[in-house]
Amino acid sequence: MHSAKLQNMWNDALLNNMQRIGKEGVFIVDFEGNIVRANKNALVAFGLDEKIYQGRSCFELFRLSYDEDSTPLDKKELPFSVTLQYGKTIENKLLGVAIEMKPLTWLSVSTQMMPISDLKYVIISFFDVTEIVTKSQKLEKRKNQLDALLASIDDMIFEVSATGVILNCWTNDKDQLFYEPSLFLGKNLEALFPGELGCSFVALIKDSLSQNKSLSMDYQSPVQTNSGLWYRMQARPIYSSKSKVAVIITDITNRMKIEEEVRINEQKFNQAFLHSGLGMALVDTEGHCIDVNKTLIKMLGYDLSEMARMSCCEYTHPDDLLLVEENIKKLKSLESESFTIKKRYIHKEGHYIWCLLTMSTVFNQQGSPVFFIAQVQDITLYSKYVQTLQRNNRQLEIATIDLETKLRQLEEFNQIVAHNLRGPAGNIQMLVAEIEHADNEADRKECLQLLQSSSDGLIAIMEELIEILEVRGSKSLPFEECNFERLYKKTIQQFSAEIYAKSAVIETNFEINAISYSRIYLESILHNLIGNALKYTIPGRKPHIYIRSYVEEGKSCLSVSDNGVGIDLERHGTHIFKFRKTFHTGYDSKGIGLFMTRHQIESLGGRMYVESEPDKGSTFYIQFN
Amino acid sequence: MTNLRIAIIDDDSIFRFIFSKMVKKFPDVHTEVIGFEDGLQALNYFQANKEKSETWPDMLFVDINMPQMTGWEFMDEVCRLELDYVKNIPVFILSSSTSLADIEKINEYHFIDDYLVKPLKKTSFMELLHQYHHKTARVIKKPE
Repeated sequence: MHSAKLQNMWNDALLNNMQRIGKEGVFIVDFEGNIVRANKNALVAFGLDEKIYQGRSCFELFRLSYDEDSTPLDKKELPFSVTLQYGKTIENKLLGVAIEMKPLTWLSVSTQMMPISDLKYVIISFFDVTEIVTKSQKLEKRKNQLDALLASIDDMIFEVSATGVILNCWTNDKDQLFYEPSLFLGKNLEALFPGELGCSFVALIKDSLSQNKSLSMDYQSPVQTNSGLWYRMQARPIYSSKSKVAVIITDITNRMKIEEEVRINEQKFNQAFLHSGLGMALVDTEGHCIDVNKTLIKMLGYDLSEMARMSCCEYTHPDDLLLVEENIKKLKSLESESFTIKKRYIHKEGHYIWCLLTMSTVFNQQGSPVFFIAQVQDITLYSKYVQTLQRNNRQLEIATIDLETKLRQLEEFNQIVAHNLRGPAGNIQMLVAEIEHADNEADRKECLQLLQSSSDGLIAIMEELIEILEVRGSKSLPFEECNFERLYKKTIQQFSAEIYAKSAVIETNFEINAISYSRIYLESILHNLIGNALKYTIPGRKPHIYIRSYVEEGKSCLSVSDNGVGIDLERHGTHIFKFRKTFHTGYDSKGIGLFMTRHQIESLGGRMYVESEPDKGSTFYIQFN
Repeated sequence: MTNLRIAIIDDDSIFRFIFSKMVKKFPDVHTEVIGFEDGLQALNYFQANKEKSETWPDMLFVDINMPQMTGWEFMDEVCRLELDYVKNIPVFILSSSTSLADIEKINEYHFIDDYLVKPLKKTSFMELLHQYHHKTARVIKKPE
């Protein structure tokens, strides 16, 4: 007993000393796991009463235990249990223990066999490491977050020293690095990238540190096979350190491509804008010019500052304002994206310029109009040419009609010569032959008489032809003011006997009093038409003649209507105004009148036509030039 | 002595006179000329004598350029009125026109034998009369 008592005393002394040394908690348990001794730290840690702790089971105290990975531990796996079973010493086993409903307390536990005489005891010593474990867990969490962050970026991030030595590297995609990190970590950038590029890197890092701000440079991949790739290197001071920077490498190949395209497009537009043969302007939504090209300046006479100050309405012809405003309104309201109109600009010097204006809208990303592009084409010359062309065409048309008329007249003359002139001439030839071979005086005499009348007829036709030819050759006939009423009265006098004899009624309606025309022709025309109307009457029907002058399609016209025999136009329509054509037997007619009348009218650029019905009457219409 | 009856449609009375004189000089044949001033007169005659074949002419000469009705209009009327016997005798155009347009127009009328140009040469005219007179008195043509 003495030795046992001594042993207990020794134990107590040991335990208390231990308590003094640090915060270590100690249990001594017997072979069943029941507590034999505990120091103060252990009692505090597990909330045990000093007086009644002895005999408590450690299996019960450590009932809810977990290992590092928070896996629940079985009774047999508990460190002191392992030591009890196998006599094994366990050092610094991390154990999460649930004590009295509190959050897990993390303990670093060591166990060791302690045989006393022939009895087996285990000494359990532990430190509360909850604080360290929690910190470590927090760190782990942050590391995970960092990894997640890295995974979300495409860039490569390096930690680089002030002298250009790569200290660390992070990337989501290891392939981006091209090399194993071991090949470049701890190496100098100047060594890794010999030549200008390495020097530029280091210089940028130094500048970034000295200026304490983020700096960047773009470079083309130094690797031959990747020369199409572009990168941006960003050196960013790390605020906690004065001797290190974060270097961020970003693949900007796509951005460069897009920027290049944008640059080319911009260039294209600029070239087109500056050197266009059209006047061009960028116009803001209020109608002020933001930019104009040389062509427009030259066209309108204002310089950019003037056009920027003035509203576009100020140099637009007042009559075209409404048109321009309406169209711009449509652009603003997105009703249309562009328009083209013909308008007049006011030149700085005051004169007007006819232009073709095309205006289109440039939108921002939100789809609202930012400004307009105006393209202006001076069409003054064009308009002038069109006018000239139209005038020439008109003249050509007139000339064509004139030529066609002449050609038709020529064909008619050919007919006249063939039929009317060769006829009597042929007769003469035949009669001469007859006279030559006549066997008696009576025949010869008869033939001579016929010869006489043939030659008379020939001369008569020749004279008529000469008269007609005079009509055609008389382009230089003097035009004078011809009063219809006066000429009509003069004509009527010549026919007074016939009018009296036939009790003819003549009615006039001169809606236009006078025209400028050849008086001789107009007299002749009236004479022929009134003469015809008085000649081709129906016996027993009182002749009624109606003469009217009027304007139709902008041309002066004259019509003469009668209620006479009329003409069967279906039969004679094609011959009506031809030489020596007669349509009625029993009237003294040679078929010259209408032919002459038509020729006189046509020779002065007019035209003549007829409406008629047999037994009802005729109306002759004359359209003067 | 055989008979030769010739019809002429021409508004020129002097020509008709000379034509008759020429026909009368055709030897050994009793000739007769029926003259018409214009196509209408002739049409009326042919229409009236449609059934009296003894009045029908053996040959027909037609001028082109006539008032009221041209030679061509006369031909059209003959066709329209179906005066087939007129088409069956030798028909000639007799015109002072040497215009090709006129000469070629006879091709539109298959029953027209020839186009003669005024003035007529006595010898060639006699030859023509001779030639046609020595064919059968009535030349029967194929129907069209």
